[in-house]
Amino acid sequence: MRRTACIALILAFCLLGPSCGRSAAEGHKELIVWNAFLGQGLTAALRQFEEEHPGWVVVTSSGVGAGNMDPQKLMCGIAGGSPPDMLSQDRFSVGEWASRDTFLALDDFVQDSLRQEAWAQGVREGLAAGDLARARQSLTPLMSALERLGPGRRLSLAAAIREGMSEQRSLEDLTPLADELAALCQGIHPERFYEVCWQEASYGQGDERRVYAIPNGTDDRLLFYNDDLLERAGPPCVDENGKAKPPANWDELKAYALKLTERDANGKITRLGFAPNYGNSWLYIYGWLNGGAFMTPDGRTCTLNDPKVLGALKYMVEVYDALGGMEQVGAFQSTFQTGEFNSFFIGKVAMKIDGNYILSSIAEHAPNLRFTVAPAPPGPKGDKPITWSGGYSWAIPVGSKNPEMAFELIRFLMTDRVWRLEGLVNSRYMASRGRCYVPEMAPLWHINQMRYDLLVRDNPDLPPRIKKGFLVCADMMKDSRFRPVTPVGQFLWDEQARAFEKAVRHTYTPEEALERGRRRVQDQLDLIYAARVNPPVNWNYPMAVVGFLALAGAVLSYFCFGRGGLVRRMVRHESLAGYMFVSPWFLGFAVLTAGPIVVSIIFSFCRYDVVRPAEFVGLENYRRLLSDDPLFWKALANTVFMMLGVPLGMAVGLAVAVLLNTKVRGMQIYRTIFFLPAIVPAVASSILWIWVLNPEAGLLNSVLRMLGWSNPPRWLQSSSWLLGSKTAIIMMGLWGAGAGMIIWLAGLKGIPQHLYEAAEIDGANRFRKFVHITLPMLSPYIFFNLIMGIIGTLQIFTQAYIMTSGGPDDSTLFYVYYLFNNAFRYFNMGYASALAWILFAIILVLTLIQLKLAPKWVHYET
Amino acid sequence: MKRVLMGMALFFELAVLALFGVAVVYGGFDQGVFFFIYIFGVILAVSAASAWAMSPKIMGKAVTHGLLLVGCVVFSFPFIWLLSTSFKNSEEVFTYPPKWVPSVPGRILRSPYVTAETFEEVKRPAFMDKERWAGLWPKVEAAVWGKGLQVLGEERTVGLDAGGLRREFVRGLWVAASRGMPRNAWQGNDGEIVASVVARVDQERVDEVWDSIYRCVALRDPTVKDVHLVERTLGAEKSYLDLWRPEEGTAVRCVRRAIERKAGAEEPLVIEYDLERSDRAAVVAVLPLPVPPEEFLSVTVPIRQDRSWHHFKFEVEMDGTRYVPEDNLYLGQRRWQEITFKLKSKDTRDERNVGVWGLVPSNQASTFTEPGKFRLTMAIERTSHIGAIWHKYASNYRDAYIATEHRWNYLFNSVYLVLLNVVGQVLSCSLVAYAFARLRWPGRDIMFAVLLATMMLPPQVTMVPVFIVFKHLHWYNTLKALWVPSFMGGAFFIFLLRQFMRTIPVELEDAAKIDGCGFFGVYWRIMLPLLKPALAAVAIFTFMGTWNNFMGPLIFLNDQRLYPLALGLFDFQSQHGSEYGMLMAASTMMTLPVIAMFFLAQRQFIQGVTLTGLKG
Repeated sequence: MRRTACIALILAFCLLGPSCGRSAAEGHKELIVWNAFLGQGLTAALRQFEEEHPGWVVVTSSGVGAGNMDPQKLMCGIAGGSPPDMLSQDRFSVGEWASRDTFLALDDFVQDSLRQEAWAQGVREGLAAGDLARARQSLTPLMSALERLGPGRRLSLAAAIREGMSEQRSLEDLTPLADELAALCQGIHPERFYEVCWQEASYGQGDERRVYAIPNGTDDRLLFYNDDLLERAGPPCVDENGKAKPPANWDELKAYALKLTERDANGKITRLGFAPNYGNSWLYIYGWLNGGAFMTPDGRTCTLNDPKVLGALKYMVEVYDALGGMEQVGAFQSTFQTGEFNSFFIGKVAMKIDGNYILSSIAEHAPNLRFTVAPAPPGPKGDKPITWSGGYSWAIPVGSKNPEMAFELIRFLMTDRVWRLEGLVNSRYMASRGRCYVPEMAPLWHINQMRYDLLVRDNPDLPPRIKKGFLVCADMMKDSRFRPVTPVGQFLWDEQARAFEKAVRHTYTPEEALERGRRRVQDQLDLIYAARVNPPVNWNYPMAVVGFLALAGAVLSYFCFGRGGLVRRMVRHESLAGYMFVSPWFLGFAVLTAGPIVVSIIFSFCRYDVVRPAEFVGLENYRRLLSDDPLFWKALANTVFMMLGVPLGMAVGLAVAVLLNTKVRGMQIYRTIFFLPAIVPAVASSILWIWVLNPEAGLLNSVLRMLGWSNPPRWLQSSSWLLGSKTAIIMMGLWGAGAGMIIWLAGLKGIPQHLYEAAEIDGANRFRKFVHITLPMLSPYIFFNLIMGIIGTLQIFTQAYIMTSGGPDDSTLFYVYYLFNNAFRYFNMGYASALAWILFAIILVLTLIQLKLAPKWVHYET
Repeated sequence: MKRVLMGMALFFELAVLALFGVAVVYGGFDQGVFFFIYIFGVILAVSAASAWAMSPKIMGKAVTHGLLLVGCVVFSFPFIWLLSTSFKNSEEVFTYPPKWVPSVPGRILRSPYVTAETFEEVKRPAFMDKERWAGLWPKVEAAVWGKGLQVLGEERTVGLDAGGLRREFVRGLWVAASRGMPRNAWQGNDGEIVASVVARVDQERVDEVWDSIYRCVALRDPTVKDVHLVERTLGAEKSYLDLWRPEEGTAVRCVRRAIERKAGAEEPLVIEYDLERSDRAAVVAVLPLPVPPEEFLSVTVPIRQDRSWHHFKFEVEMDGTRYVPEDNLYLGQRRWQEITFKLKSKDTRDERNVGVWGLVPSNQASTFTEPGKFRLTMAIERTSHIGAIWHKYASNYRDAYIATEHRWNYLFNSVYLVLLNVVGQVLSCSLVAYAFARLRWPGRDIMFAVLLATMMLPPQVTMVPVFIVFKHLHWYNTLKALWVPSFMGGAFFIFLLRQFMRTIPVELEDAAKIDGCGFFGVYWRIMLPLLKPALAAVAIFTFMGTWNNFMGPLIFLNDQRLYPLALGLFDFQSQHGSEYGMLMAASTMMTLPVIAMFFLAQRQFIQGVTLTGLKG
């Protein structure tokens, strides 16, 4: 009775309990913005926007993954018909989305904004010159344009001017209004943006080229070096006065790398001079520095195997080999490079190519670091320093409910006064926390100049080296490149990274690595540009098939059980009860699960990118996957290897549960402590793990070294099968065994005590009791854990997603992670569905085998 | 034989514990071979002796407890790290070697002072032998001190504790100067080495070291903002800093002094206090008020704090009213910082996370009524040493709390979702599992296979269609999407409970049926009580899963006010990702309820024993 009352009470509370918080904006219209990185500056700017646009509320939603790595939300939103009004998108992926008709072309909006600016200027100049007719001539079209957006600060200013003119107020009264109006009406001038930023946000050939996003930030990559370390190393790293100087070309760069690298008596690296891909450089920067190109200008052909790119890759491999190989150097390239270890700040790395943004973290963490910023040296075939830029941009998805207002917000954010406001607010915020502020790089050159004048040049708290660095970085933007704008941007990125990994680890020669990458990218390109053969899937056919199958099944079972027999059995009292009891799950299955499952089968026979209608292609996906895709087999092998963790995990979980089932005082506390690793949030535990498993400074390896293993495994940095990243992930899983322990504990508690008592009378010792009583009694749980362990392991995903991104060298490219990449990052949902159904088949077979074997060893009470 | 085994077990347990101890105390394992031979020797002796002397029963207990302790150490590791990081300030978080115990702030009663926190003891360079170093170091020390003092200017060291100053200053200069010395500079004789070290003690390095060891409280001219958000810096032409006066009866001096050598910066006002002589040190200034009192909104004070963790009191008086901040403030920073105090009555927004604190009228009336002026009082009040430690340890929690705008919404949503999900899963899964485990109905085995099959398809491929289904049910951007499905049962839990039910003897049910129970009666009266341990497991898993789930909310929710804590934390991470102390404080606060819940839910495991004991 108490139980019933309790449950009823909780339910009543929760159901009656407010669906509160929904009153987001009573009487207001919402402008929905996704992925915005909500710093203090942007928050203040949005508040200002709301004040200037009464009736509107900007609803921001978390900047998780900030748009590049986590497109699930956007894909769901677009496919489900509820996209945001605007979003911040990694610029290099704008081309991918634009090519699939998911972003609005913004050219007309841009032109409108310029027209409005011209009118506002006309009003201002007209008033300044006392030429009321001219002012009126500009004011009329401006007002009609503004009226479409509804009430706002601009409109009321314009109205005030018109009223003032009709009342013939003095010009002194009106000019300030006109000045403000002109400032508020500033349009978006493409020519004021850095060329690279604007072009990266544009897509299309010739006349069809449109801009699909407005850049809102940028970065570039330069060489950072530690003056102290260069000076200590002496020539060739210093000039004649003994002062550090940057390397002039690639030969010098390599010489520096070797000279600056220090080793202990065992030849182990204690300080890394320079590694080509430490920081943020990638094959891209070397390819461009060497004069290469990654795609043809028309975007139809991938030229990853361009001889100049090949030369760049060979150079990178050469430097790594000279340093002792990737495995050795990799220790310094731990996953969180800017976070905890800051190898560059603490002098563990003497030189690196990295983004300009590390200036802020230097200002924050190592303001006294004696460093210098210089352009990365050009390669033998390149003639001048080059860098490359990425960054974010504002885009408006197709289906946005308020595209005009969204663009109004973009335009607002791009005006000089708002850039200024954001800079000031950010710098204030940092000052309030006692930290130095280095402005982020804007995609507009005059804004960078303004911010430098306003916030950098005269700031007494900023070290001069950082001020100089800011200028060097901003200056380099004029020689910047950008990653090819193509429908396969993400794919190309992953393949160039893969080619580098394969070459530097000598899995393939550089030629072979690049050629394989090129072929894969080209296949994707060909698929995308191939004409559609079949019409979009007509959903009536599959639905009819499903309906027919269901009917056939019913009829078949009716006859199988003998006429009437089935019905008779179904209406039996117990059967009815069974149906009633199972109905909650069945309802959920029928409404929520079954449909998506059926749909995914159909998608597996389609070319489908989520955002456009599916096209039926028959078994094509399955054929490609089984015959053309080495990564499929790699991923499968990786995943199958992880099955080693299943018995281990069960053994550890059971052992811990047995230990925690002993009668000891304070057991509740012990159990809680053993459970802790399972509940520490992933945010915290992934940082901890990276640190524990760090090959050089990590806790685990220091213990191993102390125990006499002079060359312990490199764990997450190693692609080795037995003692590498996969083993490390299995170990992490064992640490979380506390979660599985609960199930075992519940099972142990279910074993009747009298069995043990009887055994004791027979004189059985502990071991025999465990083998002959505990294990058989636990067999249903062993069976459960085995099945769920296999399912869980074959679907392992999170670790690769959060910690390793499939690396190093594809060693943690797990099946579902590969599937995820195809589904959400490469726009291959059809292919991903085929992958999923193959995995389904594998798991199904394994489970069926177990179900067949189960009666032999699983002990049930019925 | 048994004794040997037990002795070995004990040895291993103690060895693991000792290793962890060493790691925590020293932060690494570079103490040398003999240190470890000694430690392991002692452990070996202890375990051998106890294996030989103690009775097997006691020994068995010792081994069990040892195992539990080792387990505790291993498994509590992530949480301890989380906790310890949440107590650290930003400089402490990532040091090499790592520090396990967050530093305890020193007892500071006089300021300015030289801090001993920054630099470690000077270590002999690895390539130099002991005798050479013993002869060389005193010379280097004296030379570096002399040069450093000369570059710094002796007037800047007035009033500082001489011993501490010399020690810390030389340590810092040594680190800065030796860091980039060319290798060949170490080859010469003592005199040459000293000369090349001293040559590197230049203005830049001295300023750098000074900045990191010198601590003081200092002020610059404040800025006043009116309700129209117009800012007016006081003393824009000529500084008003000279107007500050010590409050009567407090041991404090105001001195204009250049504390850092920076171009274009005016000498700030250093507040020298001595809390040994009085518990309060206060300075007062009467400044012209550039706005009418009724339009006054806020005052911003640039202040450099000394991280002494004393109370920092602030008062604004004008027009006969005295305003004080509604929160307590502490001297916890060490660099220049802008603190703003705004009238709560004029602007109620909570902006504490951007360093804006609310001012409220105090109960004490003010005698200050001078028109056109206002009076600022800045007081430092002594905090006990325990209080200082508390303030330091709590500061990340406080910052994290302040920085989360919708904190109570997050908490409410999380609790709401957890309650509904737990109730939903426990009820529906046990019902469905009963049907699969005990009842016979046509199609049961096929249905069970389907149930298992739903788990075999990776959820990533059904995510988009599921989203579309939810959208059509109008669950998008509501919490329904996150709890209604739990009332339809989760396949994992149904399977688990089915397995559990199948270990329960049938006789119990038969007895109940004979007594006239229906199927529901059997389920409700017999099954549920017997299922308690398994239901507890389901509840714990559901609690954890719901509490930590952010992927679901991320996809289905748009409105910040609907976020549960996990997504709030994720959001927090994207905004404060580099402030590890705060991040870990937020994570800790999020973890504590789960720990408490788990601790309490275990009662069900204990009760399970007594109930299952009934049968037989």
